Amino acid sequence: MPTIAELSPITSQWQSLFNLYLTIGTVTGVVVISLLVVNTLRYRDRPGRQNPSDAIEEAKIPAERGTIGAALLLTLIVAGILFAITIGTMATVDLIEKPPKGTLHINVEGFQWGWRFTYPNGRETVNEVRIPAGEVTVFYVTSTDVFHKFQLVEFKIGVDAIPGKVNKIWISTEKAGEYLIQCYELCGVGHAVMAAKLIVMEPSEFKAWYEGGGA
Amino acid sequence: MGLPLPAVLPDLEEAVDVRVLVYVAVWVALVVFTVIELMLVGMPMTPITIALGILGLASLKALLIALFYQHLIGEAAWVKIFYAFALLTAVGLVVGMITGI
Amino acid sequence: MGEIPRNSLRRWLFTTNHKDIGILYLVTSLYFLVAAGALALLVRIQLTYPNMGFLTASAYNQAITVHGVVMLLWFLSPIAFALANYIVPLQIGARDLAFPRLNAMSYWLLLFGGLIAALGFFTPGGAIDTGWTVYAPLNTAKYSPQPGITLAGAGLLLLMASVTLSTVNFLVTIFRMRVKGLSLLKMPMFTWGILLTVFLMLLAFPPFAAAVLMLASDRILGTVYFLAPEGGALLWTHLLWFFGHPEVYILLFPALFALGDVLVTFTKRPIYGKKIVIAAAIAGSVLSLMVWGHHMFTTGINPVWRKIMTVLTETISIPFGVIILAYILTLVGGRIRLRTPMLFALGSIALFIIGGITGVFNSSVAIDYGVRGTYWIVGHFHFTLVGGATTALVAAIYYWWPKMSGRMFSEKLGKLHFTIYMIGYLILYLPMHALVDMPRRVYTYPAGYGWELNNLLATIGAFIFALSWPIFFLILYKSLRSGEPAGNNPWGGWSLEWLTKSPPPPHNYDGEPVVDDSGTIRITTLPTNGGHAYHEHYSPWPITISLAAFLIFLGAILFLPVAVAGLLLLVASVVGLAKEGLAEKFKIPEAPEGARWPFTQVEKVKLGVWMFLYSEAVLFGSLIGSYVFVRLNSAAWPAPGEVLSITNGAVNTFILLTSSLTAVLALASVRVGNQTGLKAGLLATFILGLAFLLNKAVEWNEIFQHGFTFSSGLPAAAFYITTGAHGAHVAAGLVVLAYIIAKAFKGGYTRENHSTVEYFGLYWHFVDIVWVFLFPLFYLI
Repeated sequence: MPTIAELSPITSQWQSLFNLYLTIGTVTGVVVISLLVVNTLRYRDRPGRQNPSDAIEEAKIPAERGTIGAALLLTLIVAGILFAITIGTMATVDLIEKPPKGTLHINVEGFQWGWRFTYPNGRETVNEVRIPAGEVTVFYVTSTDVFHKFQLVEFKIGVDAIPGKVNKIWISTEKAGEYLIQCYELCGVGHAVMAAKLIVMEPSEFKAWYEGGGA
Repeated sequence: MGLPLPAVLPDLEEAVDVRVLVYVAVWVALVVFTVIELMLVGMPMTPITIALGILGLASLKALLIALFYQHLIGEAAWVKIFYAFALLTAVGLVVGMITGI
Repeated sequence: MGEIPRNSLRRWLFTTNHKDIGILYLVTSLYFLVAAGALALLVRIQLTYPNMGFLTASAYNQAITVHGVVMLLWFLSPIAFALANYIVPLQIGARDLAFPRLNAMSYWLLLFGGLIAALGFFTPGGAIDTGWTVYAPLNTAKYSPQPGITLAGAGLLLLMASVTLSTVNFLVTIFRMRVKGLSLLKMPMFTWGILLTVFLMLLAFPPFAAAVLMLASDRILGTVYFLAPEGGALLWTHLLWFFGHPEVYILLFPALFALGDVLVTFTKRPIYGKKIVIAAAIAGSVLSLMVWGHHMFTTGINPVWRKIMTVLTETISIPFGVIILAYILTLVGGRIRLRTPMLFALGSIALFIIGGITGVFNSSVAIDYGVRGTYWIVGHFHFTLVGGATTALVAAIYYWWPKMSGRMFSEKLGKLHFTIYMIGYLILYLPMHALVDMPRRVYTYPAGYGWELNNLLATIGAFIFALSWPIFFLILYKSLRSGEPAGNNPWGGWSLEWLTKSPPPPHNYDGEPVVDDSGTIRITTLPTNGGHAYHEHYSPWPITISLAAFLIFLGAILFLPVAVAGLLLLVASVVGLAKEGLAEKFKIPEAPEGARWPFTQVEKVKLGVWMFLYSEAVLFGSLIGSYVFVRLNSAAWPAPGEVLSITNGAVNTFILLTSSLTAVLALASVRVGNQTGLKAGLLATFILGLAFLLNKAVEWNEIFQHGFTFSSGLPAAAFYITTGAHGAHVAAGLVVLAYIIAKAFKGGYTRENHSTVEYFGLYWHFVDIVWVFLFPLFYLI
């Protein structure tokens, strides 16, 4: 298996964005849950612990507690964390949505239950698509019946296949080999087996296959 | 009822005729606006202009009915605020759907 | 009805007391939990290893779909409303909800809705199997012809009727029935949570109701809203997710705010920044209506819109982060007793933190390209809805159980329950986060992608987690049988519900609770409105009306004669209800000087009518929005006058406008005691309304003859569904008007007492306003 970074620029960028979220998320989660646990243990009722000065009493509306300043501080902390990751998202989304030039365009039609691929020269394949390594391939994805999602499983990327609408997604990878394409939106009883093979070939082999018209 | 009457409309005892006049006047306005809507159809303007004109008149009619027939004009402020919020929610949905296409 | 013994079946069928209905909700929702939980276990067994053959693809799809729908709509919301029914009136010192019979009807509609949806299992093709999101066009008859989906749609419509009644009821109750001195800000947290929940429900359910209505029409009448690509998938996703995101908070708020009450009691300190928490929740609610696009990132919607939705969705984490931090700060300086409710409360906060953080991942349009449709998402929403909401609701049930049952439960067993619950939970749901690339909703998966171990772990965890529930039920059962008497206030809480007996008497308080200026709550024994003034009351009509609705839907979908029986029952029930008198016998005494801001001047029923109209405004907004959406998406549309006669529409417009005038003149007449004017005005309104409907019938017949049929395309779908829904509102108005006319001819309305005429007018003018928009949209543009 190739590593994520070798697969495709958008996959590696996606993975590093995910890792960024994961790091910040883990740190935040650990800090906040620790605060919860530490405060629970620290202020546990033990023999000798006194009631707080503003302790609640039966039949008495509780006193007010907390300040606006504290609220603003909390808001700023949460907002600051979110701001950092939003910037990462914006950079990645542009890469995903704007494919580079010089590309192979393949039309993809999802149907119950399989995938049909049409090449620029009119060549059609079903449940198997071959692309050249090292080149940008753009898939124009639609559906002939119900709502599907065209997911390139190892590449961790995909887009919805919707009747009457064409969505695009691109990859480019240096690594020849066989990968999995799978439907990721429930589309009926055949959903789990609505898969196709993505075969990445060396450019010369691809050229021979593409122009040869053989199987 | 025991509720204070809308301050904008005169007290009912002596002013019932005024009330009825207001209701009838609103009805006349509604009919006139409808007639203008009908006249706008087929005018030599772009379809968008016609559509906006007609919907503008419809909004005006809706406002008149809400203010005077539903008596919103003298209703508690929060009844109006919630009404506006519900309408805003609906409009937000429609705008979101249209611009998201 | 006369006195009914408290231990009889008739009591449970006919009760309208909020505490009885709370218990009905509790039992029903726990039943649905067990049923849907069993389905989840079947799913986990099937996924234990790759290529298992335990369930077929069809059975698997039914299992996950029914699991999802039932857990969301027939377990989580109803169990929250079980507590809301029981506790909210107690917490604000009311004798009952504002409209007890409507409350009973809410419950029965929910139950019959669940039953009709479950019937799908016994029809050819089985129950609904499209996933709980029911995406179009898989949901249409072309791709899913089985009646199971139509039955589920009918169940959803009954559920939405139930929800609408509940929301109106709780809003009016909380706004109008608080005891003297209990301002909104002084209310306990749980009541705040329900107030926000029902307000969101009021605005978020109507788009979904519109979508299900359109789907039902597509499936039963053959319209093509969701089959045509110009409507279809995107139209459904817009409407579904406009509902779907607020729904998350609808499910969360009761739980999150119940935590507030539990935390205060067991830390013995006030909530840190209660106003801040409430403000944050309001901000979150408003934002939740603006973020539905994040469920549609990969559908190819406008790229600018995707970025805006990303930012808005990340913004929505801010208020919830603030609420959680405020809850943690609440612990500081307290005197924390780790009793069972508190353990579950703390556990819920910890799990919700994780679910909230994984939610931030999903708000990113870039990450969503990868994780949409994967087990990562399944892990995320189970952390929020099971870890966050369900755990907190378990805490809440433990917390209020002694109040409801009058008995304590075993602390030791409670702690055992907590331990098994948490261990099972974590083994079940944590591994799902490692399945970032595994598709969800697949009944089988190939080996060799590194998915095996985590699936096996999740299945093991599922069984441990499942085991914790019988322990829970056993604890409650043992408590009922042999628990120590609880006393009024076993936990040392401050709020009103702890000041009365456990369980409370039917009238809740022996006396009149008031909050004085120093914040002390006293139960006065003033004879003004003494505790026993409120008698128990029973009505058979809530259950028969709900049953009738059930039969009508069943007949329409499976076997028509059943619908006739349903219709007869409905007529009989409505007549019975009308005879009971619309308000007389069921008048809940209001506290003499109750706190009613901000609706001090708006009478209870009137406020209810307004609240109902707000949801109606969003319903028609959604229907009109759907029409505009498909129209702008379509290349061609009939020109004005081409299919629909402008003259005909104009005539109907003048008829309806005039009927509003006659309605308001009837009101003006009765205000000065002019009975003739009242009767004439009402009769004229009725005749005009009838004329409107007759004219519509003639028009429909004519265009039908000319080939503009239900199934002839999107223009027909939009026209028939939208104006049909409007026509149904006119017809419903005429039914109520017939009752009012009958009462008017018996001299039932006087100068002092004519509020029904006024409130009917509010509705009638609203229906008129809708037509004011439908006429130009369908006939002139």
